[in-house]
Amino acid sequence: MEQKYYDSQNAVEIAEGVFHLGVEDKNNCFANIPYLVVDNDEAALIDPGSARPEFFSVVLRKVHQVVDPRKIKHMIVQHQDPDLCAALPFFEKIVSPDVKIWAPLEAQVLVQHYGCLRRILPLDDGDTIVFGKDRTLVFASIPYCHFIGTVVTYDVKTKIIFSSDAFGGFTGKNNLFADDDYPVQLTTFLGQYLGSKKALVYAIKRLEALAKSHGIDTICPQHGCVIPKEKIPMYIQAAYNLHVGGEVDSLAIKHKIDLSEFTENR
Amino acid sequence: MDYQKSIVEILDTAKKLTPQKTEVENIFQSAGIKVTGDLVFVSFNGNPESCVKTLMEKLSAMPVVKISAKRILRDGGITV
Repeated sequence: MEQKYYDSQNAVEIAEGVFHLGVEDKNNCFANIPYLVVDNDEAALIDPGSARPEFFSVVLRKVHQVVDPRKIKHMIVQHQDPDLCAALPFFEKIVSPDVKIWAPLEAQVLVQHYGCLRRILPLDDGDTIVFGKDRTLVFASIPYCHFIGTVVTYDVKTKIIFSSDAFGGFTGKNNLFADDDYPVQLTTFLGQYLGSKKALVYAIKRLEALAKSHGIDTICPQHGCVIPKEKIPMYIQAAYNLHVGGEVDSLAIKHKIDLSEFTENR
Repeated sequence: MDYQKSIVEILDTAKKLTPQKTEVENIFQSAGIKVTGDLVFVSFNGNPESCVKTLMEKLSAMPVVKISAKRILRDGGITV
């Protein structure tokens, strides 16, 4: 039977060699979800997570369950926010001595300040990483969604897209997969955290193009819930319908700033 | 502006975001908005605009609910 929930103890294999290492942040209704991709004798850790001890300890426990950390040859940061990569310096000490740490070109200058000893290697649109037995991860830039240097990661073998904040949601529950409440959870998160409808539409269309050319079986966001294949069209549509950047409208009204000529976010 | 409609939507959304119903209920009560334990709107104990303004101040204790409330009030044409 398909596992419905995750906990603080056990990693969950959601596809062949792909492990959900999620940490519940109940107080903030904001799960943080690193993913570990394992292939033969090597592994890649995507968005290693927070530096807060109560978060890092959970992720570390789950990594140990799945693989000797020294097998981790790549650590991938999809953008620079601390909830997804402040743990880098801690992991750097225990993973493979020749680990490569990757971050989007524009995020690289920021990620270094978490204190990694190694140089952060830049990722750009279309770049690939190959590890294990020809396990291939392809990177696609989705600029300004929500940061100029944001990439999503596509695992060719499982057709999973690790979507970073895109398709993320707020949730105080620990369900693995998106349920009936997820549209509201997604709207609350993305609707407030994204600033540009154009950037959002570009990201959606980029994913749609990827789905058409290679297929997407699962969307794995860094917050919220995993979206299985049968629900992807529904969430694509929900994302198209989002009104983003609305906080600017609210504050413009409050401070009597006229932005009426700009309508791009509707 | 329909304050009650927006409050009902904020409560419905809160139910989908957080399991901490009691905390949500207490915040609404402290803002002069009577709700049931299942987060169903009952009444405003005072001027609705003032209640909503107070609610938004007090919701800082539950950032996720406040984030959603901002969007809902904005969509309802309510500025606080």
